[in-house]
Amino acid sequence: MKEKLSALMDGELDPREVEEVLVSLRQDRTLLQEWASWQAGRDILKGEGVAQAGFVERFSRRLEAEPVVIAPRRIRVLRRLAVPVTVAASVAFVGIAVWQYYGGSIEPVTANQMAAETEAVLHDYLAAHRQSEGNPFVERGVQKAQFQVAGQR
Amino acid sequence: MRSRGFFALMLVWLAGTAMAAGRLPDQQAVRLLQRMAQAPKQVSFHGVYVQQYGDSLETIRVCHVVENGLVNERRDSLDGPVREMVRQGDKVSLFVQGGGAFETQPDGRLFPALLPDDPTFVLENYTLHQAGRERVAGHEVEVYDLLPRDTLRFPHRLWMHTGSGLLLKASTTGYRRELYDLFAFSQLQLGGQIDRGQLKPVNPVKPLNASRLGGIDSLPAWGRQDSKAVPHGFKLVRQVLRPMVKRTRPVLHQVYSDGVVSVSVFAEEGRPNLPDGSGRQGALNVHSRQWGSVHVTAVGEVPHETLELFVRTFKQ
Repeated sequence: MKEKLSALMDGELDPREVEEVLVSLRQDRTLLQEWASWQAGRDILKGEGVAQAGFVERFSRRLEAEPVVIAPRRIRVLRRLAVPVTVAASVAFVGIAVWQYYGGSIEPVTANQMAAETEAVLHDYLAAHRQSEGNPFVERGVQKAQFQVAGQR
Repeated sequence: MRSRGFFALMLVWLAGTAMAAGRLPDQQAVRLLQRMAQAPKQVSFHGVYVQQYGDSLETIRVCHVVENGLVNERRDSLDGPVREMVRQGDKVSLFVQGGGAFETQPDGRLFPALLPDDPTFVLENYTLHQAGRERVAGHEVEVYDLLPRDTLRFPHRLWMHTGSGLLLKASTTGYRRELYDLFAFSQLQLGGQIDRGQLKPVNPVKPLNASRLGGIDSLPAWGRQDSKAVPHGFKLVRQVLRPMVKRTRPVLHQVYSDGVVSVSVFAEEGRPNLPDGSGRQGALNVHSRQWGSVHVTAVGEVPHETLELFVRTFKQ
């Protein structure tokens, strides 16, 4: 159960298992205390304020008062929202994969690895673009830019 | 099934109303954008602003005095290599530590003068939304969102000084509001007595001539372009043939604008040492592709997909 609780905190728990964890939290006070201390620990790590004293008590009271029937419905809503997100993510992934593969070999490089002449060409383009915008206060070249090569034909 | 459809419809409707919240009618939007564009021609100020592109940050000091409708201005960089720019009306002089060529453009825009005189074209591509009030560099500002009407450009946020209409802060963000580029005054004196000594250059600035590159009306024979395929809402501002280092032939440089941001498209005959691919820094994207004997690269503060469309206009 603790693994599932940990996954829930990281937002990685399967939506179908959320209900199970919530039921356990409602029944098992030790587990609820554990959950609260993990949350507090994480908040400290992130530099956020810690939940006020008595939060667990108030939270468990509200959890008990929550009608059981509501929870599965919420999860269904969650699941419905989760599906488009997953679809979007895989579309994005496919997009990247296709793009990387088009034209042949994949060869992602950073500016540091890029041939000096390639970098000079890119720098020229960026500089000419900046000039067309009329801003001389731009010192950025491609030093920090990532250039993803799609493969040469 | 019916309830599902209804649920989906409700979601779309809710998203629509949330996006449209605070949207200003076009007439009011025109007036506000005009006010922001005109303010630098009317207001004198002296201050320091930061300019952030992606993860590169620069601090610049500006002294801007308006006298009899003429703008006198001096800007110098406070970090990085020394750069100084002096402007008297249309006359621009520049000093860059270590040299380096620079051209000026009549339509060049420097913060806080980021908006065009005529905002009607801007509003064909963006809508203006009220986003509350804040304080920037100790001054009261009104916050406005300039949201794109399509996905070909990024959202912008504008912080306008309530009293004068001057932009005190401006940002370009992604669609999830992640910050890409930012201009913001950190210290600012608006109006009042401004020390004119601040306008005198400290470094040996040299006068710049407006770009010597003459515009061309028609494309070179090798550069066939499907101009109808240019992404919606972008206008060709100018096209020149420019010399570039290590090239035997000049490179075609087209500049497009959507009223707020510009895109450069470079096309050249041959194969420069730049492989097909794309790069990014902050809102600035680069996309390169070889079409037969023509190499095309597009650069601009627009989503990567927009640049792909620009590059595709030269598909041979």
